[in-house]
Amino acid sequence: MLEIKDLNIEFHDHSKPETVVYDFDLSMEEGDIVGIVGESGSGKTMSALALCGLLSRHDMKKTGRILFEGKELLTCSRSEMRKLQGKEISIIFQEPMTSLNPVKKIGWQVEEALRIHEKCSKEECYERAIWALREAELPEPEKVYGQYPHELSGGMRQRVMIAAAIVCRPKILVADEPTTALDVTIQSQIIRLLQKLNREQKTAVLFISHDLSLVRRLCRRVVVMQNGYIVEQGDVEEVFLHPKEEYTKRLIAAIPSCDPGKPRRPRPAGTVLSAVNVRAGYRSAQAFLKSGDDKEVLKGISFTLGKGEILGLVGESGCGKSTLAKVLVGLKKDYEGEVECTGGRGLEGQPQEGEASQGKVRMVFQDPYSSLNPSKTVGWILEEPLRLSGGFSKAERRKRAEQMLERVGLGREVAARYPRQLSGGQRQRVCIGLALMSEPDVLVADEAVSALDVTIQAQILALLARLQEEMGLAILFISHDLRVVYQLCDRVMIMRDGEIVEEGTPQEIYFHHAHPYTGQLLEAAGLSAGA
Amino acid sequence: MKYIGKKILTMLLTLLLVSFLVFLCFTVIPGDPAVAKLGTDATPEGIEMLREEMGLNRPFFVRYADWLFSMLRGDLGRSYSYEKTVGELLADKIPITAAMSLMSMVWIVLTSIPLGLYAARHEGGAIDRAIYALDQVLMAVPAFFAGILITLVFGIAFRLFVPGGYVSYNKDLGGFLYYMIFPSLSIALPKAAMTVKLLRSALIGEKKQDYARTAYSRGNSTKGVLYRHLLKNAMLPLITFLGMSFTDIMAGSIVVEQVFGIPGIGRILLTSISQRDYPVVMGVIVGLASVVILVNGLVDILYQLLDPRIRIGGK
Repeated sequence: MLEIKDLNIEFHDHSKPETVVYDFDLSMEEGDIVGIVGESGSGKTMSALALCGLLSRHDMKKTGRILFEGKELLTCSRSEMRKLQGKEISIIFQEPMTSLNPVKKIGWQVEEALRIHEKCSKEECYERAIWALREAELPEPEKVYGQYPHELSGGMRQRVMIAAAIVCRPKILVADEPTTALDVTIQSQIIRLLQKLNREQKTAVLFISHDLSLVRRLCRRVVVMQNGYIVEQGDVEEVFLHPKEEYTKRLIAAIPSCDPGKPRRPRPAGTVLSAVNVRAGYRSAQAFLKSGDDKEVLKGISFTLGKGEILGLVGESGCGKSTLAKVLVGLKKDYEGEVECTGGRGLEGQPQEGEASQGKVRMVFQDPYSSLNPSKTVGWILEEPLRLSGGFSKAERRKRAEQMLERVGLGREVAARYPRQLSGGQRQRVCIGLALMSEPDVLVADEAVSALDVTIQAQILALLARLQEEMGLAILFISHDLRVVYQLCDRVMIMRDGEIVEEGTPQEIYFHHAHPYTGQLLEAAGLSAGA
Repeated sequence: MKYIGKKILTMLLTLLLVSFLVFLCFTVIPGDPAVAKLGTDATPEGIEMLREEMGLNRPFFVRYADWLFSMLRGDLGRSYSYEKTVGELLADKIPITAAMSLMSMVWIVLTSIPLGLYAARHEGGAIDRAIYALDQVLMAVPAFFAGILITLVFGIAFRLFVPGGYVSYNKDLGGFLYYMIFPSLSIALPKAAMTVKLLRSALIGEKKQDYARTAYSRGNSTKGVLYRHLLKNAMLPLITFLGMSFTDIMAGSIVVEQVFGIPGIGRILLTSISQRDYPVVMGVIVGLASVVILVNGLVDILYQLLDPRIRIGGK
């Protein structure tokens, strides 16, 4: 049905042309389900966009052949291509939050492909849109039909995207990282949905992801890409169990494994951070004459973090993880309960009243791309905490910043560069370095590796483990990725709806969990007990 | 509906505040209207008598309340310099300025939306660049200067109208509207140029959004994406801008009326200021403020209708 041969994609942005995809080959039969795996910049998304006819910028050169049912897609006209888009070949994207038009109703957007490709009456459009919404397993499709995107959650929006993509019953559905921005439980629902569509509608699925374990669960065949080249392809199990190429082996090794026999350190004696019955909430926007409703996000959280301990905090989005982090670092001050940080160190000396946590708990955020001021050099950024606290000479600030760069595995010369000149992994190292400049006792890492590729992720995790060792740092590691948490943490807390439902060592939690919710999370991540 | 009710209440309160500030200003600024009315050689007794007659000796709040309530009844007071009420004086000027401002608005919308769409669709093309260059020039031209140029080109060179040959609307409506084309055009030119630029960049910004890519993936043509998806999103900043422009247009009309010799609100405002004819000036200011507040209110309500994300009522 689909045959891609020797596809090359070249950018002619500036003076020198840059090739992003080399000799891409792929063939797919009806009802096939194929995965493309690779890190960012590997060319996987480019190849998929070329297939969907969405790479039509004039500064781009494509050579090779894309044959769809005998039709050449690379050379056909825009209007020929348009007849296939949304009808025979559909695509869903990574960002469900921004991929829908914010000012149009869901129904209108789902029906759009029908209006463009098929002449059907209003009633028929409505019926088929409802069918597609139901097929995408949206609860109350009739209600969703009349809603706007902002009224739906991320997972529901992704279902809407799927509904809009399948409404014309396409032959191929391209899914470009469709679950990356979603929680584990939603992620596994979407995967099951794609499997169902593939089975029942005979839709071929081309699934693009950087997550090898997901590809393994969903796909029959896999294509591994690196730097624009196909490194290896074949049967999923075959590639996983007997990878031929070095790069594939590296990718597979970078997946954090959950080995039950992994040695654990004994629980440390002293406590560095403790929270007792912390409650916090947000007030919804105030109306003119009526006070807003309070929404309680943290419903009495108590925990302790031992000296030099790495504590994992796992939960779905909206469960209050980030709010708790904000309370701990002092970014959110209107909370009830007690937070005490009892470390002896800290640059600011004695903590000021009411700001007990300010000096000693530091935070690393999820997004290394937007967390650093783009108009300042890395050196300037790193020196800022020292400048603010005062008492350091210029030379001393500079020396400390350079030492910190080396500590987080970057060269001294990075100090003169701007954040945009660094890769995502390097930026996250800078963010970690920045958090450590004021010598905190506790580091709060809020989804600090979620936005990174697997191999980079593994490097950052190794860095965190090393820093913990060297500096005796305690880390609260917030993540939704259960595998990463298992790998890194000494102890794990499971959080749900503002409460901690279970707590224990990774072995206890992962293999002998007591709370059913923990079981759900593990199952969604493909880690059901004993796995 | 609840939202609109609240909006109207806020607008009325704002208007009340404006009226108070206006009254306060004209009470504290130096210059006695009674002196102005009688001339410099009036006797102190004569002035005192007139002050009593005009009610200027009563306490401030009494005078304010009196002014406010008669205004609510539609009575704006009597002009000091003409033997007419302010209402009578302004009644036949309002249609002139209103027609000119509305006509400018029509020009702006009619020219800028098609041009903005065209420029965004053919981004980087020769015509887009030509529009861009023209935009830069027109944006820098103030309305009165555009008026002089238009008089020069259309009035003197092409003889399409007689400069200064204003035709009253109750004598010849067609002639009046024809004459109004030129002043309204000179007000509209710089504003239209800005609107084109704003719409173009808003559309190009929306084009880079993820949902535009989704629209393409469903088989939309470039035109389909532009009209069915991007335009409504790009209209949001545009509406705010057009609302603010309307205020500017009315302010601009004061100067342009001078250039084209039009006896509108602008002219009566200028003469009243120089004659210290405070009731007229206050009436005009409160009137203009009402229009500004009303237009801003309408913009807010329109915004609600266009953008579901900020719709508060209706749920």
